[in-house]
Amino acid sequence: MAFTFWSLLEASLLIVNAICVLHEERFLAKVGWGGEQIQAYGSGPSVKSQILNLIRSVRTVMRIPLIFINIVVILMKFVLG
Amino acid sequence: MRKARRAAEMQDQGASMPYPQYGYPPPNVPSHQDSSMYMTGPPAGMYNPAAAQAPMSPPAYYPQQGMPFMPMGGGGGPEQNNFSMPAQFLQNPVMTNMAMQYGQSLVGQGKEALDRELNKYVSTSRIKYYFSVDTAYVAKKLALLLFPFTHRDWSVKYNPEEPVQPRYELNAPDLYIPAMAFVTYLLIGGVSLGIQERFSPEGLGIQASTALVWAIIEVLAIWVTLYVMNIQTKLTSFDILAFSSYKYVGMIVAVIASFIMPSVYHLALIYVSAATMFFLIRSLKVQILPESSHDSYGEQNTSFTGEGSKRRTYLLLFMGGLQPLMMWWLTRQIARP
Repeated sequence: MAFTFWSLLEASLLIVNAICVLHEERFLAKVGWGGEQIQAYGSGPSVKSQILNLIRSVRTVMRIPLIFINIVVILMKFVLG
Repeated sequence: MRKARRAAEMQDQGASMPYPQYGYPPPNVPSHQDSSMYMTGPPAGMYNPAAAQAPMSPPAYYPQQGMPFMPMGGGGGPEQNNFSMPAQFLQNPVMTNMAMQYGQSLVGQGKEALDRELNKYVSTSRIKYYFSVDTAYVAKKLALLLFPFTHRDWSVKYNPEEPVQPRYELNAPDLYIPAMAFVTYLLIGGVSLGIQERFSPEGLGIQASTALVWAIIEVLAIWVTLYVMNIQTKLTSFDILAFSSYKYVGMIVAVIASFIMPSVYHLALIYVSAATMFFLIRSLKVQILPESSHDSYGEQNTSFTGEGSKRRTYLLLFMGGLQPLMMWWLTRQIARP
């Protein structure tokens, strides 16, 4: 039951992939997690809007790097099993 | 031989600098070229043009008293080989001084650049703060970690100029105890496996990797929770790391208890879990929960009211509840059954 650093990297790559694959209109809007930002006056942003914000930022930042990282990992898996 | 000696002398002479240490010294690249010209024997053909240019080309940083010697050395006679020039220059005291100054400035620049790069990612002074401990603090903190129940005053002293160092404030988080406890935990784990005749060298590495990964996951989970719940605290990620790593002390105690008598392990684990939970919740309550934050800020933050307060309590309980789980998870394979 060794949980190595490498598996942490793999897991984080998969999770970031999973976050990036969530589509704004096709998926999030249908679940009711659309982009509308309705905030009650005086209260901070809600948990939902913070999660949406996080998803959106991860998607924006990681889109290009993810392409390359995924290609590298796929090639490595092909070669090294 | 001579080169080595010169370099050593340059290291020693710290007082005279051609230009100050701060900022980006403009003649970065030229000084590199110049010093390499003096320090190492340059190939033929590369030296002469430089010497010919020297009287007119040197930038402002070039020490002025060295100027008259340059043409003299350069025009010393056609029979002089190019290769003998550097040695001759180095024997000249003015040239030696200059070379020393260049070398000194190079060393300074390198150190500065390293500091700058390092400071971009981790601020060194902040790390230093977490390691400013002394023996009395460590002893008291260890006692507090294992017997937190009678401790009364959990508030952290507040100094407007700078954070109060751990050695002056028992309740401030440090990283010294967590770091040492982490290493000790790994070694004790090795000893424990050795007693059970299950020891293998690579097992130590696997265990270290596993513990490190779980620590990272825990800090990440707490950090994401802080963000998602939109809780503003004074906690930095180093604080979170420090507080969540105090559990290794308890884990060491539990594993050592299992040496003495295997059946004691569970009892010891229960006790140190309770102690760590108590310690963590009392310490973090000061930093996370609203009423204490009111005192230091004196102003009302929107996230402190109603919903925010409830979220903070949940976060506190989440962090506290995580500790026994992690302690059990990380010691269950090591301790004697």
